[in-house]
Amino acid sequence: METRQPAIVLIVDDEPNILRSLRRLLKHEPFRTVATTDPYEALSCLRHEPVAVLITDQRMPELDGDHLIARVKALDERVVCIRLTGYPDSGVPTPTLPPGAVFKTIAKPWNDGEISTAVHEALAHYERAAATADQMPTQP
Amino acid sequence: MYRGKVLVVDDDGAVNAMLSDVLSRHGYHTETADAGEQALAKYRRDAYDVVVSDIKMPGMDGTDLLRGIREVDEDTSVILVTGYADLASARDAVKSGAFDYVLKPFNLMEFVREVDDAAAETRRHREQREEREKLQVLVEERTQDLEFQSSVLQLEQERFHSILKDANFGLLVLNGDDDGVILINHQAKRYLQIRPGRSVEFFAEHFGQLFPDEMSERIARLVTRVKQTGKVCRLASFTNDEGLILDMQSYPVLAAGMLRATVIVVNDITERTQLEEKLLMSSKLAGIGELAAGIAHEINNPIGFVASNTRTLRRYVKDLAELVGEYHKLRDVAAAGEACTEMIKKIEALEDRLDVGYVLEDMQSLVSENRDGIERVVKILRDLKNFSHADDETPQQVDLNTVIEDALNLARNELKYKAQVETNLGELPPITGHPGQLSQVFINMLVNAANAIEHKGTITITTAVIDDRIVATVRDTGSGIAPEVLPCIFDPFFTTKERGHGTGLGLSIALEIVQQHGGTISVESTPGKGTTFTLELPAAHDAPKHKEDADGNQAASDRPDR
Repeated sequence: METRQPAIVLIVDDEPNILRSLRRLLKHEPFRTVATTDPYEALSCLRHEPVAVLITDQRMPELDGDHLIARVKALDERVVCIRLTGYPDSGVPTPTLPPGAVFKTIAKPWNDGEISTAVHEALAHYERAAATADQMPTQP
Repeated sequence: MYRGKVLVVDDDGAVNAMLSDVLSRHGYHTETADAGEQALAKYRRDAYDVVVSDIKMPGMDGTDLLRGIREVDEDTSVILVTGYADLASARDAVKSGAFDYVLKPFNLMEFVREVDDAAAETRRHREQREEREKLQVLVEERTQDLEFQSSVLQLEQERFHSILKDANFGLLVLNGDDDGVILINHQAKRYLQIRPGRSVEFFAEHFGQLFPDEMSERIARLVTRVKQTGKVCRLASFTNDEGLILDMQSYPVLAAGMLRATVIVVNDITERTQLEEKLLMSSKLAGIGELAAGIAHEINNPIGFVASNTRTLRRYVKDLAELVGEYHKLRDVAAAGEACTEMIKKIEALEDRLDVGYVLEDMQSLVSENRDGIERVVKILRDLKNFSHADDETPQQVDLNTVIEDALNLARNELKYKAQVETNLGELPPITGHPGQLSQVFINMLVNAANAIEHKGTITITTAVIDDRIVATVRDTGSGIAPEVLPCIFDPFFTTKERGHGTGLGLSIALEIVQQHGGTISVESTPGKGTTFTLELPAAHDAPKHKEDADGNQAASDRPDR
């Protein structure tokens, strides 16, 4: 069994300035952040890196947030997904997403504390789920 | 052979018998009377072709008998028989209506010829009378016909007049050659503000004498245009002194290539115009509504990072202030000539902790990113302001390319997830108009184009000058418009969207705005392939200064149907 690498927070937004802001915000946090404007690059990252949390913008030209979340969940259902949206009325995820697929939706403009709290909670959620999963094979 | 019926009158029975006898032998049926009174009584009872009467008889003589016969009819020929002694009165009798006279003693052959002639004369008279009577009947029939027709005509005319009089539109008909007023109805007098004291129904006066100068000029402009084009022409709506908003159009009445009359129809469109203004307003709101989410997104994104960056900047400033505080202490220690090593170590540790190198570098990025973000927000707000003041502005010289770019800025967020926008904007002369309204036209068309695209498509905007007209096309690679729907797309409230998702006003308002600018919109569409809207607008130097001239004739619109 492979050794666990430090968890990665993957950030996707088609607006580079948003990515830079979020990375600044999370710079001093004890986890790695990977940021990209391209949802497909995000999917590729997910295949090669131990991504724990995904923060994604909702509306992007290539692939929107909900579709990205659906594909991320299909690749690794443990990834905890946070949606960021600039749309005042799009707090409700697309009905096609299974319930619970979106951990939290945060509206832009965000409150910095809200982001870091959400990421910490998401990581804790991820760890708990991972711990449960790890324990399962050891059980008789 | 029967030749006629003769009444022979003589007080001498022998003469009667002789004449009857000779006439019978020549084919006449004869009757006799011994006296004038008896003859007249017979004559009244029965019809005769010829009456042969002696002049000189006791009682009623021949002349009296003739008079009596003439009272009954004019046709029967009367031959008077006389001796030389009475020749004068016989001649008088011929003057007063006898056919002829014969002298006694009789030349019987001559007498018979005379009777033949008289009978022929009677027949001719009768035929003529019949002919006359037939003609008279015909004339009477025709007269009745004409009277009937004329009463129908009069009724028609009265009905026509009352229709025109009470019509809710103004009607003014001018003579083709001298512009004299042929007809004017009540509403036309009111709408066009006929000069006080002019109240007759029909005139031959020149219209210029009936209306105030300003109105006359307006009519003259319209009439001139009708004469030049030979087509239906229309002035842009105007407001009269009563505050009514009026639409005036005119068409020529041609006969054999000659202008016979100019018909001017004036309609009160006050209510309609007010309704249209409300519609324009509500469609603008609807348009804004459709864009609102996109605009909010466009604003929330930069505000998001600017707000976050500003908090980071505040943290940096706090950190740097702390560092500067330490530097001040170091300066004081150094100034006092004391040992600095400890201070410097402390400062170095602080710099490490604060990551000062990164902070200084990052501050510059923060400031420049924030400036970017704020500029973006300012730009959106400026575009919105232009858009929302669409009605306040007076017409100005506008570069259509700028209008299109403004519209693209506002609609960008709506578009960028649906379509790639390609622009091919040629150099254009300015047009006279309302930039806000025109940008609304393009926003409506761009949003429509985006809606027509299901997944990913291309919207191409092209501008060019073709034949002195400014032509802009908006082409999308969307689903296209079905041919049966195409004629309706400019109709108000026509929408293909679900209820509650579109007002159906976008294109009708776009058409209205473009027409007010003296332009046209046409559309071509292939289902499954896409749609192209083509706008044509006059360049500023073509566009008339006067608002009323801005629209030209009715064919100004290339609406796909109707």
